[in-house]
Amino acid sequence: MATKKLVSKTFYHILVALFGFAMVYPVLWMVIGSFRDNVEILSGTLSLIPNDWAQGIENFQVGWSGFAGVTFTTFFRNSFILAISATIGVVLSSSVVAYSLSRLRYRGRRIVFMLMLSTMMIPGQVIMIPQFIIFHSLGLVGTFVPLILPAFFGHGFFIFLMMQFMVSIPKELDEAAIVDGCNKYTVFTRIVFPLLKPALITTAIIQFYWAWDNFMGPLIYLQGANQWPVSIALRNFVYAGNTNFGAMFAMSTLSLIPVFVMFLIFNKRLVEGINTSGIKG
Amino acid sequence: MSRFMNKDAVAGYIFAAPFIIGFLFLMVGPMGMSLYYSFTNFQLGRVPTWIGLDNYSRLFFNNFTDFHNSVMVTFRFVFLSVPVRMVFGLMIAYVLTRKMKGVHFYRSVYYLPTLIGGSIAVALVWGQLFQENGVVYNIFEAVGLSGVAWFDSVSLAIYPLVLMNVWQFGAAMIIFAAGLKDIPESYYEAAEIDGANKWQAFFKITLPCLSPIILYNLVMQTISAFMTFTQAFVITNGGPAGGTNFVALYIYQHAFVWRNMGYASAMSWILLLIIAVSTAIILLTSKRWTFYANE
Amino acid sequence: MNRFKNMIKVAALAVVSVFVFAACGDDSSNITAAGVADGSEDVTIGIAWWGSQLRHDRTSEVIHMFMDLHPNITVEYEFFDSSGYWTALDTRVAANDVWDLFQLGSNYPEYRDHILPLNTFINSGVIDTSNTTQEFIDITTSAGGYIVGLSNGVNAQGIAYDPAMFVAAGVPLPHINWTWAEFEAAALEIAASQGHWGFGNWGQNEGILLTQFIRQQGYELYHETDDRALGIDNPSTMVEYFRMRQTMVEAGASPNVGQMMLITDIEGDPVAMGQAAMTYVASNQFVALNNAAQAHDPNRQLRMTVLPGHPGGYAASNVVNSQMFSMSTTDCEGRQQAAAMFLDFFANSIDANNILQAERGIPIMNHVRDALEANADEAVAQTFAFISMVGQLSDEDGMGHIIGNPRQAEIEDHINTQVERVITGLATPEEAAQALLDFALFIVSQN
Repeated sequence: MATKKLVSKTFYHILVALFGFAMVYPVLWMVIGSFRDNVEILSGTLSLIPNDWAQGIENFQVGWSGFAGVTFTTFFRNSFILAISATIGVVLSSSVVAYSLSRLRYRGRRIVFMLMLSTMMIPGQVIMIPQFIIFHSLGLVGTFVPLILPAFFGHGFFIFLMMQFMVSIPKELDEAAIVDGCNKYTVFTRIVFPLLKPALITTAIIQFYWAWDNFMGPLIYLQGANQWPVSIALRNFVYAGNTNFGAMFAMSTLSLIPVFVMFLIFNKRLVEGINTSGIKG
Repeated sequence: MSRFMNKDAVAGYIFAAPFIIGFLFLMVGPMGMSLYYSFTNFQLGRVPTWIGLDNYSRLFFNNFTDFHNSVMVTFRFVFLSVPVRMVFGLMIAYVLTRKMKGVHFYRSVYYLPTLIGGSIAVALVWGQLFQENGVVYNIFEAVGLSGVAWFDSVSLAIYPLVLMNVWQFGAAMIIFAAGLKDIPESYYEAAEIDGANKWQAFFKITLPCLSPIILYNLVMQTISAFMTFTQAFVITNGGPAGGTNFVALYIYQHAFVWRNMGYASAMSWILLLIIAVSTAIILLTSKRWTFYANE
Repeated sequence: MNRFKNMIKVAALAVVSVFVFAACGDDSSNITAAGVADGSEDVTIGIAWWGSQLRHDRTSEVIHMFMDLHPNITVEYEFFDSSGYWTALDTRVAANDVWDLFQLGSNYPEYRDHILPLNTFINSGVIDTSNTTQEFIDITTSAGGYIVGLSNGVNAQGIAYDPAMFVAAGVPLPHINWTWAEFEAAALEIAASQGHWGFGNWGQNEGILLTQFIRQQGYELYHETDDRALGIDNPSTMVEYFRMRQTMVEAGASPNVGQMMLITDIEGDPVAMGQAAMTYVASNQFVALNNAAQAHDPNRQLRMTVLPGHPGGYAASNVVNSQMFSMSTTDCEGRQQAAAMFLDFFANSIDANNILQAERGIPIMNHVRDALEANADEAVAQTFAFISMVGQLSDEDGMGHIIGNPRQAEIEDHINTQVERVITGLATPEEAAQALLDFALFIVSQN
């Protein structure tokens, strides 16, 4: 019995690891690309061993030096400010809106719900320009406000995600809390919000990544390299026929680290959150 | 706490306020403007001129069939990629809920592709893998199928993009994983006592309990598949001969490359309509197959 | 219907008018040109460009140099990657707040409404053009004589080739009056005998080549003065191009669509990698291409020649504006003055150009060119020589001003689509040429 279990366990790990390797191969290729020069990168090689690891020193140095004297120290700082603020905003605002739509019964609720769905369906490219004109008229272009403020208005995807999770939180808990003297507001802060933890963490992970990766918004709203996040800086290595791939891959690799690390940490928390949340049974 | 404040209607609007304020401030005006633009000939930087339904008639009745082609290509993409992506997300999430060492690490690794989807490195690797004499080509030859020049074919070029979309199942996977953890262990124990095997347990317990999550993922994946942009943008730029010219990419090109805001707006509203109808169909039929714990 | 129309119109215009205001509504409106010129009034101008890491570094250095010389002028600069730039510019165009100076290329007709012609500043001498020739001013002059910008450098399109591969195949080398027929025959012959492509890369934009192909026959794709018309009324000038593209791909003398898609950078160009004998090249990229070829094999030496032409036709390659800084249409006199002074400095200062190092193309000012040429290495000198050769060739036909159309980007993209249709067998060359003509006519009718 024990050996059978060991065999099946080993088999499982080999299978999962092999499939995982195939999955992350392109990522590894990019990481290894940080140690190659352009000629080697563009030669069509699929190998994961660079000709000369020392090329990496140059790639990371040239990459980090950035553009016109603004280095990646600045770009990373801006990215963290933008992504953390937007994440906090989306988590807080989406959860309250979801509570309203899923737990409270009132006239107009369905209309609000439909409007929320419609905001997810309209292609961003067309409302981008009118939105820009609004922020421009308020004198907010060239600040972080147009990139952070919308996060505090809730995001359709996450409102919907949290509504789905709230469905599985028994209504009896709300009712019991009201018997114990809670009102509609404290039911949210004491019962629903804490039980939402897994959904909140999921939201935080995805939203952090979206904000970290956002390119269009910073491109039109920010002014000058001092305000750039990493996502924009990376694109500037690309230049018609003269792209510095090595430096770009080196900086892309670095920019992947915060998001990946965050995922590693919160991934465990996500599971803990569910185990201790008391939804079971 | 006053009675008034505790009414559902009052509390409801207070809790929904962030969305409502945001909607009024950032969506109503822009959506209205884009609706107006869709009835105009509006090249960015010039004055919009009213042309009535001309943009819409160009969409449906012109000789160039460009939009017609884009819609068909987009539908193909949705039908090919959404089911496969969902199955992968669920399968991997299910495999990774087993109580084994390293599950968290594996899950993070499987999420990695989702984090670098739009990067140029991926575009390069994907091109190398699918080119003639690339890895995929050789695998096809090895199993006896003749090698396929994917990106040289109008009808086949979409498959590498579908695969890339499936490859990024990370977001669906973690939502499934969160949902799977929600299913009480006691259900499985009860099933085991009743003599159900693993497959029966999966179909009789896991799937029904997950159904709200499946619905959520299905709606989200469908919407985002209809709006797919990045894969085509970084790899094929819509080619060859329009074979991967998804509607969202085409809207982007009209809006920002050719600056035809009027035409782009008209396309957006049609896309919105298509997505809304598809979502409505999914939500309406979902009542038949979703199961909520508290019902 | 009419009432509905008016209702929407009024509502939308109300929204627009609330949000859009003139770019010159702020406190810079009463700054005078004279005050800026003599340094007594302070002014701030904005400038933006796209480019590479190198260009960003060098250009910002030159801007600081300019600000040190003119302490009353502050230049706020923004720079972008080449595709992000256009999105940022378009958004600003929509908000009517374009930078005082902004970089444009051959697509300038699309932004014509937002460009302030430089004629007055050149006539008054604020921008000193005494060290250049009329031809170099003409390349940035639009119909009607409006000087839409001052070129930051010139370029010419050509063909780069590997002479060793021609010799190995026993094919005569390209010469200065070579024709498309000779070009095609050479490519097919090299493919048949050597097993690699005769011609490796049509460039990212097929539109440039087809418009050249038409121009060499004495026609223009776009009409010179009428934005709503084309310069050609039948597809006959284009059919041969599509036929040649099809024949070469079918014979394996040129990459197919999928293979073309993989060619992204100079280092990945088939000629650099030894997979093809010829490739399309813009003169400012030849040095990089040659370096890439030598990275694979140090003994290789590429050469550059003009584009093929038509027998008895017009000059095959011509000198084109690489890109220019254009001035935006603000009515703030002081900012215009400061922008003109910057343009003058950027084009005429030898110190500035020693930093810029012709990275945007060959400078148009004689004294600047002389200064740079004195210190140029051999590869750079080759580029200088190529430009002056092309300049002399096309001088005989007169370089003339450039003819474009505000909708040209959309039409040029459609050229790619039609070429792909021909190569993948969805259309014959005749059908593709006719479809392209119909499409172009429809698109320009939208102007």
